[in-house]
Amino acid sequence: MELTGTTTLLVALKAEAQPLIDHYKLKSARQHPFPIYANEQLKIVITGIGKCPSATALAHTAAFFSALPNHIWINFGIAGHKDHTIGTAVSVSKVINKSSQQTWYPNLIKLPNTLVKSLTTYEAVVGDYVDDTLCDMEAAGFMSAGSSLHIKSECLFVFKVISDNKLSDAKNITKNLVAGLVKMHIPTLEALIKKAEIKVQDARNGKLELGSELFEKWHFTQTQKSQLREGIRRFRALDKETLWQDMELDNCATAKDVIENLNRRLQKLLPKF
Amino acid sequence: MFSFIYVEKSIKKHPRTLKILSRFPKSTVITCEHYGEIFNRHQQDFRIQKKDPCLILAEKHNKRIMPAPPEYGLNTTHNYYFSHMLNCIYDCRYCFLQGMFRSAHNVIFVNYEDFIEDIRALAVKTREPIWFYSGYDCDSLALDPITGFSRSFIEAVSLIDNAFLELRTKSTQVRKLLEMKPRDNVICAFSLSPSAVIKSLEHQTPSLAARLSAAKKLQLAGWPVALRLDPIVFVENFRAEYKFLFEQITEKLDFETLHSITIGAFRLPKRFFKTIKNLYPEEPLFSSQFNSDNGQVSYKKSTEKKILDWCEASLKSRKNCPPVYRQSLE
Repeated sequence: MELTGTTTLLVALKAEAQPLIDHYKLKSARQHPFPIYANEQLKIVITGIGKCPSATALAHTAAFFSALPNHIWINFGIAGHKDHTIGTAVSVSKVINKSSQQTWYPNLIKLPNTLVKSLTTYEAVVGDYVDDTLCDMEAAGFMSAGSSLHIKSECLFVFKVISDNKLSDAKNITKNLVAGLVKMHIPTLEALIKKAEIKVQDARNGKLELGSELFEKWHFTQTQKSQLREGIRRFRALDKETLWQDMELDNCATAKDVIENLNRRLQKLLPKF
Repeated sequence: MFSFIYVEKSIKKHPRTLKILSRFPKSTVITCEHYGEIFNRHQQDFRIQKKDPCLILAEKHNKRIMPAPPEYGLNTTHNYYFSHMLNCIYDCRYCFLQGMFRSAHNVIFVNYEDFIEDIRALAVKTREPIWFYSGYDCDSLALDPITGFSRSFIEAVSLIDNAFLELRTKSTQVRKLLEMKPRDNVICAFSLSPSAVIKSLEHQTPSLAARLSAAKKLQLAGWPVALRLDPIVFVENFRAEYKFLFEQITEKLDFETLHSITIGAFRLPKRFFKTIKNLYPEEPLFSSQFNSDNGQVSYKKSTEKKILDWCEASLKSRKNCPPVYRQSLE
């Protein structure tokens, strides 16, 4: 199965994933250490509970699938908070690893009916809800792996739904409750994905691979490849009306001739405003 | 204007923080320990952030006033620059800040009093004129109604006999200055470009007409006004574009009373150029013929000389031309 999507959701539990799998009609991609469900745009990876599984799943998915530049990664799932009502949607502004006190700042997008709060990732389920932060067991692993893999901070999001609080602690969480909470916030999640996509789209378009079709016709050294790419980039920027592919290159015997031809054309061009 | 505002914990209750936050009642405020946690983190994309930057309120602890780069002054000996902000609300494609900073978020340092104390401390060390340039890492006035920057600094610097303050801006936010008594030692320097360059490269900035109008208001109120034609961009129809700009300047402003005009051709440190070019590979400006030596990317020396010679001659050919200074790497 070809997995080329532009957004990946990492969730800890099947119960968190199932409403999304149903909603987006995702299909299972087999032969991975983590269950993965996907369509052309979206992947959902079920990481399992805890920081380490969350980090490993992100690393595996990022390494295994050739992601587009600025692929969006979202850690989605349930979390606790001492006071907030069950079902409250939260965009996480800061992730704190309780054991190391290391912090990360995921990207934020303004969403309707969504709080913005810090989150602390614990090693185990929390019963006392001491801090005024959300609590979960995965986000720090997700952020840590994302940073280590040099994923851009603009592409890392943590989005949670409150599932437990002082009045109804984690022991009361059921599959049905989780499914209901996730279903309730599919529109908000969709808004997040859409807005994130719009933000990164422009930067994604700017980084297209250039000139690779010429590499089959002439033999370019690595240096010449880089000179050609830079030449084509400049040509495309300076002359938006002419396709660089329309340049007459048939008379060029070598890669060096191609580059010289291109450079001659470039010398005549000045920025037009 | 800013959906999210990060505030350093230590200045959360600073009067200036509270005043600035009161201007953004709909923004979500997030507390951080140090602005660098957000501003200096690795793997940020300036281009993506620039579409919807956050505001960060912070305290500047050290290196508040820095010696100005050698080519930055007006043939004066003691030149310093300072930045009460990092980054700018405008989006000029040639701006070196895109290459210098990892982040496009806007930082405001709220501890003006510490900056002013440092200015005083430097000024007392000499009896000669000492220049302080604002607008190097930001636009001095673009957020003035929110930051209250001009009033705080002008009132303080005007009390120092040998100090001069230059406020460099592309903005039209001169209302606060117009409410104050003009000061001879405070110069408002407007960065200008031909309209075609503004339209193509100086995104989200006020039009040339609006800038000239703001400059004229200041002149009429008695403030010294300077012009900064830097960077000059070598475009198709270069002479026609810049000739028209000079005509508009002489027509709209009181040309002979301008404090000074500086001219400088487009140039960038090499590493900044590389970063910016990678951010905007489709940008025609970064596809011109450039020279790259001594760590700088600039037009070929001969081209740069022609650009500056022509601009200088063209300006000086006009009646009662104010002093023209070159900002060049030479």
